Amino acid sequence: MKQLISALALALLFAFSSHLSAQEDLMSMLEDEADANDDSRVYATFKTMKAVNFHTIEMVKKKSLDFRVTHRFGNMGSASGGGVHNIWGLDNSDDIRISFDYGITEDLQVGFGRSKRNELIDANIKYRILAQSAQKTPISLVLLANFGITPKRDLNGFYSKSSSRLNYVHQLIIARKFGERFSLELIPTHVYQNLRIKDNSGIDQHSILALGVAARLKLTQRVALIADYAYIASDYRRSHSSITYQDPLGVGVEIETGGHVFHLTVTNASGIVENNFLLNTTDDWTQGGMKLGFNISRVFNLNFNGKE
Amino acid sequence: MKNSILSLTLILLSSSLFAQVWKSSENKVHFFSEAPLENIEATNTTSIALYNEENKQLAIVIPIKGFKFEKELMEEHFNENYMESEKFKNGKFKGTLDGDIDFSKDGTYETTATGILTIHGVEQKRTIKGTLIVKKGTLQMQSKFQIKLEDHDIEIPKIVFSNIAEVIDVTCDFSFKPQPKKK
Repeated sequence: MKQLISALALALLFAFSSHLSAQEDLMSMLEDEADANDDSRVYATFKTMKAVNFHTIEMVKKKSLDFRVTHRFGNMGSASGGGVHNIWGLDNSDDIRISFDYGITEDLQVGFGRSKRNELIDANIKYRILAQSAQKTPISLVLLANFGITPKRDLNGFYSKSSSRLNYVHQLIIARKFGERFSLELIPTHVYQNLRIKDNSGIDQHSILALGVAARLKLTQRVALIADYAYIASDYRRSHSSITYQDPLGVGVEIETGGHVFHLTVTNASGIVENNFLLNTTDDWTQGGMKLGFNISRVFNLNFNGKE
Repeated sequence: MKNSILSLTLILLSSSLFAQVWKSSENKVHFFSEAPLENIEATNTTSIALYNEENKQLAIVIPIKGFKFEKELMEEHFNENYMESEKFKNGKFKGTLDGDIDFSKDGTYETTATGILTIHGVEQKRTIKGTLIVKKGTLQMQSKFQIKLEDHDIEIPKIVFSNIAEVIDVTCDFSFKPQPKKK
């Protein structure tokens, strides 16, 4: 009898407590359910398809065309050709690139561009394999292939074979947005150049591996810091006796002005496209070999099927 | 003694059994903002709502990231710059349905709900008009109301101001089904 009463009392208590908590936790229950249902993609791991020098996992949106002009001034330090007489490099231009990128689908982008450096014409394709999502997928994966050709005049007989004018960049970009403010990506890179130089320091390789890393730290709603760096695993470059090859390192500020993302950067990279700066960066931060850079980008929405 | 406890338990249990809890099945939340340059609109079908007949409590959760736009870039701006949807994941309404409505009888009722509307982490006490339709054991709630951006500290920078209206029209349509009892 006693047991029965206490059992009933317990049941009573249960009925009551579940009843009460049901009211209090109604909202948090619903929110938990909404969280569990959430399979949306993570937004804005980076704000634009480029960090400082490297590509990010971001792409031009579907049926949009991104026209951009990227500019790198000359070296700032006088030890690297800068100094007061050319206003720390502002009179010079290390590289200028004009490019068009188009989003075919949400996950596929094609682009081409033309750079001042090596007169390089490049065409690239970017494909998203995996997109980080709220619950299921912890990282984003993007494949990038960039094909470059230089139509430069052949003054030194470098390009006796026309295939020597070609080079290729392949990247797997692995990125994650950690919380609301910080994003990080690793960029294992393979560069293939048909032309390889033989000199006193030995012979250059056709295939060169590099590991890039890029990060973004959002400071306010519209301002973020960006940075990227690459370790270039090339014996020829790391042990060259007369040319001091450098790893490219860039830092910058990203300012968003509603539809336009503006970058103000400082980097020692020689060239704007991977095909150039991964192979040819010789400017040294410690010698004032960094240059101011910026980009202007305008995105045109070409989706005319939708409503006006 | 034994009987009285038993009957008391039964009464308590039955009272909570009798009161119906309704849960949303199909739902659509739409907002629209007319602006000189381009209209901005998005639709969300990922909301969840519960209505408890017994205490007239209504709870609605609207995941901000569930709003789908025609233009992807607009969607990203909406989440990143205006709604800060990583920080403030959901729009919420928690309140009570005003008036007495007989849910056992089919009919259409004009009514209001009073409670706290939370958007962008900012709470506002609101009384929102709506229509309630009871039909063959189903329940539908429809409502059309306005949200002032500044009421919820949603900042629109001056440069893009002409792009976005200060007042947004919201349309909600929720269908409910009686929730099966758990346990």
